Amino acid sequence: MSAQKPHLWMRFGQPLEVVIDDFETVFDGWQAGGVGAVVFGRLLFTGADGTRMSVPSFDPNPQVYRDLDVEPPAAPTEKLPERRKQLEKVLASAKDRGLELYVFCPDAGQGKGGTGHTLADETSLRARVARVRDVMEAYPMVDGGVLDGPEMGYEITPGHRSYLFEDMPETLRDKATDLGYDFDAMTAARDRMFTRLHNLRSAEIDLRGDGGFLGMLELFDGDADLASFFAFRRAAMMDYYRRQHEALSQMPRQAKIGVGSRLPCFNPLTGSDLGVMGGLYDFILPKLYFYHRGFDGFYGTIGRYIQTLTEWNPGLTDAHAMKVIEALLGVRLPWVHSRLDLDLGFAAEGFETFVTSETRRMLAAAPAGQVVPWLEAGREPHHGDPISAGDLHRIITAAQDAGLEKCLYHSHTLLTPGEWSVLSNLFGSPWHDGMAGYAPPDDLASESHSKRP
Amino acid sequence: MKFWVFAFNPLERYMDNHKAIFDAWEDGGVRGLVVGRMFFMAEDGSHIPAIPQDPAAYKHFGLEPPEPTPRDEAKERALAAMLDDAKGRGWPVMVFDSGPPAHVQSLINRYPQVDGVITDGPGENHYELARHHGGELFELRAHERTQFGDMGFEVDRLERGIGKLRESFHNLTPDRVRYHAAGGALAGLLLFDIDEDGLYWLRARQQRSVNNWRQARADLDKVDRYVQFGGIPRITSWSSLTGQNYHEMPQYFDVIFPKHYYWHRGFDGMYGTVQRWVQKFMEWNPTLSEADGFLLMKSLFGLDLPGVNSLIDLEMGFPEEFFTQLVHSETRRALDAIGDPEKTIFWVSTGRYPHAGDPMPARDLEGILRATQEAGATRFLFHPDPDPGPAEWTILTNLCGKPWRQSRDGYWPPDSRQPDEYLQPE
Repeated sequence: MSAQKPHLWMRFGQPLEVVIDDFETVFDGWQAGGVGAVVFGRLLFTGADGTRMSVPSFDPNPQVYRDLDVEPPAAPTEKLPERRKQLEKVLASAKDRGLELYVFCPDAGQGKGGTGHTLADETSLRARVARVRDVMEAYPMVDGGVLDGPEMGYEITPGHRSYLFEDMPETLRDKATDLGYDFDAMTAARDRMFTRLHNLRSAEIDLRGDGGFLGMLELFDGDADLASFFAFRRAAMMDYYRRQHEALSQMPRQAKIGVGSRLPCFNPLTGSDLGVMGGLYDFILPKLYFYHRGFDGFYGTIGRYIQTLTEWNPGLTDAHAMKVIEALLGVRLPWVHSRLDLDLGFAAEGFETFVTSETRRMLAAAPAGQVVPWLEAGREPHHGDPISAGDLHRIITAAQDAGLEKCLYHSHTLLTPGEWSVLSNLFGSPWHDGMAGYAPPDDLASESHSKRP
Repeated sequence: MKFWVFAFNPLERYMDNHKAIFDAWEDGGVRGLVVGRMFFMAEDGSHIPAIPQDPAAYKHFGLEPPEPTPRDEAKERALAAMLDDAKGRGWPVMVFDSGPPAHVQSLINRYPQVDGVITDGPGENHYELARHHGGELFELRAHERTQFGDMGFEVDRLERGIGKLRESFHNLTPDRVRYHAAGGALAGLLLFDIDEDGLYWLRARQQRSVNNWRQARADLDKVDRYVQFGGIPRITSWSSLTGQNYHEMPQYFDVIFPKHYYWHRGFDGMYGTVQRWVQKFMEWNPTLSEADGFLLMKSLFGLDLPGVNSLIDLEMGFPEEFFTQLVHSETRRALDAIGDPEKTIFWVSTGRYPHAGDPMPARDLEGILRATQEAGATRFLFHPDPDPGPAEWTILTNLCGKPWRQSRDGYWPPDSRQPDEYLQPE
C-alpha cells in the first residue's frame, strides 16, 4: 500500500437529482468520508412528467458526429435549462473542491451505428466514440469517462442475457477470419462443449477435475478448436478495445478513460484481458461483485452454473458440479458443496481466499493506482441477495490487504447508513447516525422488484 | 421445528392466489398462520376495514354500535375463503389485531375460522433512551399518569423517580462506570444511584404491564367462545425494562411470541437499540468512551454482544458466537420463564428491510433458527419483511419442510426477481 491514504470513488446517477439538488451537503459529507473522485451518470434528467432518467442533459453537437461520419442522435425536445445549469454548477463545485470527475457511460445516447456485430462494426464504434467526444466537449470540466462493456457471454444458462453458447453469431465470421481463426471449427467446438456439458459423469469429474488446466482440457476431450474458441473471444475483444483506444486518442480533447470487466476469474469467458486493457486505458474497473442471484454477482453465477449443470446431468450432485466450476474458473470455494451453501453467505475464509486472489490478479494487470474496482453491496445489489455492511467491510479490507488502493462504490442512490459508516471508517472520518449534515439516501433502485414496507 | 408464517398487509397479495401460495408454504413446512392487520387496500390507497362491526355484538355488550364503515364484501369473502383453506390444512389461524369484546366478537362472527388474536408489544413500556418510535424512557405521558393513578400509584413519586434517574444517567463518569459496571445488580444500583423512588417507578411499570394483560384476557373472556390470546414481547434482555415479565405472562397468554429481532437501525432490533443507547450515554456524558457505553449496557441488561466493543463493531454484523451464545441464551431464558415450549413461538424476522433496519442476509436467519432449535425451542413464526426472498425461503424450507429449489414454473417467494432466463419463452 502506498503512503497516500487509499481513496474512495463514488458514483451517482440513476437518478442524478438525488445529488444535484443538495450537492453542497452531499459533497461535504463525501469528502469527509474519504471520497476523492466522482463518477456521475448516465446523463439523463427526470422529465417534466416525472419519468426518471428520460431527458438527456445536453444537446448533441452535430459537427462532432459529422467529423466521424456518423449520424448524430436527436436533440432532446425537453431542454430543462435550470437543471442543466444546476448540473454545471455541481460539476464546477466538485472541481473547485479538488474532486476528480468522470462520466459513467459517456457513450450512452449515441446515434445510429452500423448493422454488424458490436466488436466488428466500424460505424458502431465511430458512433460510440463520437458520443464520448461530444460528452467530453459538452462538459469540459470532467476528467474523463468510465465505459461499461462490451464483453462476451459468461453464463451457461439458456436464455440468460449473457449466454455463452449464443454469442458467436454469423456477424463475427469475417472478424474471425481477419484475426486468423476458423469460424466454423470454433463454433463446432463450442457445440461439442455444449454437448459435453450435458454428458458429465461423476467419476470422470473426480478423475480429471483436480488435474489443473490439462486435466480440464481432457474433460473436454482435448478439443483444440475449443481452445481456439476461447482464444478468439479474447482476440476479438482486445482487437475492439485497441481500435476503440485508437479512436478515442484522436479526440481533440484528451480525457482519461477507464474500462471495466467482471472479476478476473470470469474474464477467460468474457474475453476481457485486463493486462491488455490496463496497458491501453488510463484505469481498469473490474467488478468486485460477490452477491448471490441478481446479475453479475460471483455467487449468483456459480449458483446458475450448478443449477444448469445438474439440470443437464440429472445424476450429477451439486458438489460435482462445483468441482467442474472450480476447474473451469480456477477458483476454490471448499465450503461450497451445494446451492444451500451459497445461501448461507460467505465463509470467513472466503474473504481471505477469493477476494484476495481476485484482487491480486487485477493488480497484476496494472499498477495499483490504475485499478479501481467497482464495489456493490447493500439491500438489493444488482437485484441480488443482500450483502451486509459487515461483509462490505470484509471485502474491502481483504482487497486492501492484497494491495488495493482505490475502489468505486457502485451507486450512491442505494447507499445505506451501515455501508456509509463502514466506508467512511475505512477511507475518511467516521460517519455515524445522527450526525448533522449529510446522510446516505438508502433509496431503492428505480427498477427494484422489492417493496419497502 | 414447527413453522408459522405471518401474512401481512396488503392481504390481497395472499387472498388472490391463496391455494397456490399455501400449497408451496405447506410443502415448505408451514403449520400455522397469523393474518393481519385486518384491513383491505382500496384502489386509492386508503384502508377498508376487513372486520364489519356487528351491531348485535355491541348491543349484547350494552353499547351503541359504531357508525357503519365502508365494506368490501367481495374481499371479505375472499379472505374468509383463504382462512377456510388454512383451517382445512389443519393450521391454527390467529389474527394480528385485537380490541374490546364487541370488536373481537364482530371479528369471530365474520371469520369463525379465527382461533385467536394477537397483541403486538402487550403492556410494553418505553425502552429507548433516545426519543424513538414515538416515545422515550424518561417520560410519563398524560394517559400513563391517569393509568398509574387509577392503579393506586403516587404519580408525584413516579415523577421524582424518573427525574432522579434521568439526572443520574446524565452524571456518569468513566471511573464510576469502570468501577461498578461489572459488579452485578447491587453495583448497578450504586452506579445509577437508583433510590426508592426509582425502584417504585420500575415496579409500577411492571405492574402496568400485568394490568394490561389481565384486562385484555378478561375482555376476551366476555365473547361467546374461547378466543386464544397471543402476545409479542421484545426479547428477554429488554423485558426487565419494557415490563414484559416472561414469568408472569403465561397465565394470561395462550401463545407468547418472543421477538427474535436483532437487526441494526430501524426499530425493535437489538443492535439498533444498543447503538441508540450507547450514543445517548455518550451524548449525555461526554467523557464516556464507546467502550464505557457498552459496559453500561452490560450492567443494565446483562448484554455482552460477542465481538462488539465499539459502535463500528455493530456494522460488522453477527459473528457465529452471536447465535451460539446470545440468541441461544435469549431463547433459553424465554423457554425457562414461560415453562412450555408449545406455547412459545419465536417471532423471527430478517431480510432486506427488517423493520426499516439494515438488511440481514439469509445466513443470519439460519444462525438464529439453528441457535433457537439448539436451545430447545420447537416453534417459530417467520415475519417476512417485506416479503420472503429466495435465500430465506431456501433456509426455511430446508429446516422445516421440503427444500425449495428454484424452477421456471414453481413457487417463487414474492421478494424475488426471476432470473432473466426464466422470463424468456422456453
